[in-house]
Amino acid sequence: MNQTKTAWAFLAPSFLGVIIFVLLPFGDVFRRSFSETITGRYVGLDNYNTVVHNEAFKQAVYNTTRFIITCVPLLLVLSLILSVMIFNLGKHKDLFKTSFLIPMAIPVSSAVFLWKVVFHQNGLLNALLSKFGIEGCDWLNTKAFPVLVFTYIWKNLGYDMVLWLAGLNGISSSLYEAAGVDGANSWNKFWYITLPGLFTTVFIVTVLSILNTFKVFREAYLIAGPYPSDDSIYMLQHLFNNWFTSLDIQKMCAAAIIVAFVVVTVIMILQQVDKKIGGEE
Amino acid sequence: MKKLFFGCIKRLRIGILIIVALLMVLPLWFIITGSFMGTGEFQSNFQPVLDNTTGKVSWPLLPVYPTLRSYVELLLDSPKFFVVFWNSCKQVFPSLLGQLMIAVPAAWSFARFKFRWKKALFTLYIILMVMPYQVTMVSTYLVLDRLNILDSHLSIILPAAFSTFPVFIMFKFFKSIPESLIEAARIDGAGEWRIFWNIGIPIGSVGILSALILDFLELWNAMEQPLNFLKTKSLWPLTLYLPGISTDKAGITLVASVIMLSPALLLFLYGQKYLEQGIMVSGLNE
Amino acid sequence: MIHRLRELLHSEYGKVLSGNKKVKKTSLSRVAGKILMIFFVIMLLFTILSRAIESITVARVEVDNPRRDILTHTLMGTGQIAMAEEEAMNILPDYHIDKVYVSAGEAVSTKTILYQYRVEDLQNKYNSINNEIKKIHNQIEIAVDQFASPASLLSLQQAKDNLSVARAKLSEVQADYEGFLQENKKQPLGEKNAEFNIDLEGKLEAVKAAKEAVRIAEQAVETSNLQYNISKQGDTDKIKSINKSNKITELTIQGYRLDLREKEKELKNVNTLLNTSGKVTSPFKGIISHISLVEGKTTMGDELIKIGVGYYVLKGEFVSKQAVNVEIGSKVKITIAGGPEDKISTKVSKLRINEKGSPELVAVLPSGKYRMGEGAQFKIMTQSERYDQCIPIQALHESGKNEYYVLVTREHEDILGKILIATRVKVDIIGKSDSMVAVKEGALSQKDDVITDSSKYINDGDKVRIS
Repeated sequence: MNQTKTAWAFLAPSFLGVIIFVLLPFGDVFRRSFSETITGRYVGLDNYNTVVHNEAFKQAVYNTTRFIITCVPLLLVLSLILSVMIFNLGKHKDLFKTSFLIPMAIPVSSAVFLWKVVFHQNGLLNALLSKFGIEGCDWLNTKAFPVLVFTYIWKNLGYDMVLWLAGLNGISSSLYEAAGVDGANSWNKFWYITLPGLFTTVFIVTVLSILNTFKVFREAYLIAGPYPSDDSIYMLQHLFNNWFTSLDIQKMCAAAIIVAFVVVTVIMILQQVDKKIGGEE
Repeated sequence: MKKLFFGCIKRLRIGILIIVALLMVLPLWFIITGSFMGTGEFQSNFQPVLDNTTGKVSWPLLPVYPTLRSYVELLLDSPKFFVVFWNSCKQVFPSLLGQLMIAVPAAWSFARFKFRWKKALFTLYIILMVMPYQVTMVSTYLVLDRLNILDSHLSIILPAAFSTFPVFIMFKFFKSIPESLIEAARIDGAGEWRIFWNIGIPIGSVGILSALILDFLELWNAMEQPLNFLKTKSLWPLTLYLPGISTDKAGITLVASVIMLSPALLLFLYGQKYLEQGIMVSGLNE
Repeated sequence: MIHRLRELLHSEYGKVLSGNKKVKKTSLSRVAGKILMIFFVIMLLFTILSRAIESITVARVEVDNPRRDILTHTLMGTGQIAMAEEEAMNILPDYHIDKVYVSAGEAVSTKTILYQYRVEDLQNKYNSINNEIKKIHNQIEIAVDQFASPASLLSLQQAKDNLSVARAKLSEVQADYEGFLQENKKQPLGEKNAEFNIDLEGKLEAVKAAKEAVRIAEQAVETSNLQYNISKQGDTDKIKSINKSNKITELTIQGYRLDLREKEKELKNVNTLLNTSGKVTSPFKGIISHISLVEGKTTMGDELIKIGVGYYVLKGEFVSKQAVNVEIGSKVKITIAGGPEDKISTKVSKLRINEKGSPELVAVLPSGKYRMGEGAQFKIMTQSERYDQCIPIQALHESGKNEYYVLVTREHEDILGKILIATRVKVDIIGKSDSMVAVKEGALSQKDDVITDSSKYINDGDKVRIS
């Protein structure tokens, strides 16, 4: 019982900060989402209505969701394959790990110029493609979505790979040995031992990967600005940013609540699933 | 036959790994070598992109005429660049310090103590960690405005110092310290603070460092907060300054990029192990 | 207790480390760590270095904005204190100056004795003038007599009678002269004195006059003859010529009369001088500005005594090009060399070209004690009209013949912030003073920062910063 006091003592500064910087203001945001811009009058769900029917919002939601659904599975699969490859390597493991993690260490701003040069109409990619006789296109302005997917994967491949590695570490090697004795080949081992063993990891990796997709906004913003010419990369973050710049507080509050709601729900669901799977195991 | 097959697969595997690794590292290489390009070479190589003229860009693996000219121009002739650089430092390091002082005890608390609402609170922390910045953007802004610290370095530092992400990472590490050790210390009459200070921190130092490194990378990259909270351009960190280089000063773009990525890269190389530990730990469940 | 704790710590620490939390530092990470430290040190160094370089290489400038202003021109020069008017005195020629009592710069009043003639000379002069007067009188008399008026025509006979009278007079005077000479021949030569000369001269004059009278009489006879003939014939031409000769006579008489007056005047002067025993007093109150009489010398008549009268003025020469807008009434500030510190304020009263041909200004000095000829400096500040854009003259640079430009700081947006570049702007000058220049509108705006001074030489395009 004594522990409670000490526990709170240690927790206090952090929690205080959280209250001041997050909870209270969020409460304020919650309140504001129900009120009118200037007068502060209670208008119920008006703001929510506006937001939900807002074209830009719809577009942003569509794009963001599309991005997540495209990228995350892609990233998970790719990084999983890589991690499996590395896991059994032994010799140059560290060297490869380092090189895979390097993109994480390169600040977005440093890389932006590079991406511009590569994906520009007259950029390196098109130059390379033309060598093979393939005609390139204006990636930045017309195919911005794939570009962003690429940069996202480039940056987070190493990160997810390490996560998988941790997960793989957690699977005891005795299982593999036993399976080997039973006559299972690599593919079997992978399908029946590795994958199930990674179930728990999957959720965390997914969550963290989704978290990282939000950060893609940085590359998008730095390359294409607040209103990208290619609509497909206009995401929630753009929306928020632009509304912020134009001080559309009410809409922002309502939208923020909506997004928060979605996020919390997703997490809750994942947690429940995770518990269940853990329970099954 | 099997051996050959495996040998082929092994070679293939390594081949693929090498290609991917190169893909990962090549951008870095380009950036670093590109920074040694002289203005003339820079212009001629990148003009199609910079000025939207026709023709293709070229980015040679090594500059034909390597020169330190851009370095001189940026490092010696532009004192204002350093203002931006130290701005980044001023925003990142105090944040890290703040996180140290705030998040470490919090993580310890979650890890070692039992108290009511612990689970709920922790879930809250996770939610906060995962929540995209944009959701809390408005609320943070309002608070900062009320505190009158908008448009100052504090507007970046304070929210960052209270981030819940390091709490999460360090929590895992603290959790792994054997209970027996703690018990032994308790029996000896050590107070909670002593335990924390003399046992928790040293043993959990791996976790602390990994959290710090991960956070450094995150903060060093921070763009949304400065964009929204800092109006005065003279307070802007490197993240905002770098992309704003116009075409006529483009020669120093790459040098600035190199400068910006150097601490991040160096820190990464220095603490890669910690970094990996941190990532791994955040992946492992209880 | 702490001791035990530490022991515990070490053992457990070791256990933990040997567990799956191996954190070995590879050589790469060690190197990376070191480089990281060095990196920040280097950045610090470069920060300082770049600042130092900037403070050295980037010129610091002072700027000013063009503004509406009035150009003041200053005209400075030196002049001399003089008197407003200068009166000159007549010096009679051919006199011997016995003594000079005053010198230039002296103040004199109407009672001051200036110089002194030799009395003997005066006396002689007096006498000779007297004689001359007498002579003239004679001549006039004779001339009058010779008038031939057409109305009252002298009869021929009468004219002939007059002629013989005149002839008789002539012989009389000649005899007198001869007799005088004869008389004085008896006396020794040495004693021939002035009086003798004067008498002799008188006699000679008498002879001359008599001869003249004869001539006139002869003429009269002729005239009468003519008239007689004319009146007989009634010829108008001839009448005219008679009138003409009458006119000539009249004019001659007038001439004589004028001479007479002059001589009488002169006599009067000499008389006055004699009364003061040759001393000449100043006719004016003032200050001698110039006196060129020399003691013991005989005058030529071109010597000068100039007396400055009236109030004190400053006369100063100036260069007309510098005197912009200087006019009568312009305020002048005068500092007297060796005089009181305070500047005297007065106004220009005259502008003219002086004897040397240079432009000269005259300003009246307020009443007070001054010294003639004293040097003084004057300063006139005039104002021109109001110009919309005036800049300090230091900002002006010449780029060619009559082509001027200024350097203005213009802001350039650098990604690193705003930098100032010195930019060349051509200007047309519409007015100039010693310290300011007025430029034609259009080239500059009121907000422009015009570079007036810089810590080092700067060119168009140089980076500058405002100190």
